Amino acid sequence: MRALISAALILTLAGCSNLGVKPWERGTLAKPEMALDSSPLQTAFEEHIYFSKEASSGGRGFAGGGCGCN
Amino acid sequence: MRRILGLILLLVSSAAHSADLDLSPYKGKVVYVDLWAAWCPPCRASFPWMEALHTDLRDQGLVVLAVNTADDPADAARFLAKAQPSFTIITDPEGDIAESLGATGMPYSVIFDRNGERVSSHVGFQLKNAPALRRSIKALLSSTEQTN
Repeated sequence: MRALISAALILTLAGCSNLGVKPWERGTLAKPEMALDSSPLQTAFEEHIYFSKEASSGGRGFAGGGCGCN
Repeated sequence: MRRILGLILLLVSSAAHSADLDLSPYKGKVVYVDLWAAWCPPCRASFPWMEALHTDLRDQGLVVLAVNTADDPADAARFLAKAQPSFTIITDPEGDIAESLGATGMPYSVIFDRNGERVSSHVGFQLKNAPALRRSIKALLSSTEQTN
């Protein structure tokens, strides 16, 4: 019984071994509708305001668009 | 206890199993393997370059092998109908080949020499880096003579 419980516990350790998405599994994430900003125009407008207020811009996302090539 | 450990090992090894790329049909050739998907813009951008590579260097013993990796078959077919590549396309629906090659991004290319040894790998595709990559492939082709 103790061995069975140990085995079950050891098996649960592997549960978190496969976190994240592999580069070749990003097809769905690469779709435009998966972008975090639902309205690019609105985002551009907010970026403009942010830049004029803070004298800095960017920091909203990262290059690559999900294909993992950059 | 030993039997349970054996069962755990079996489960782990079957989960980690991945199909290797079979390069035996290309013995004696330099093989350029490219992992691509239709959703990936740089992958699509690399196709004209790979087509030129294939056309110019196949007589010197280069094989271009484009592996469609874990892609929507309809998207891939639509793209291929437009691109009309003359090099070999194979499919890797579960990403097993990508896993075995250790792909860290898309597109991912690996160059194998005439002995089937892995020489180098590249992540991504940028036109500015393409001439250097082509030069390295040409150098590899000329450094070893074609045996068959």
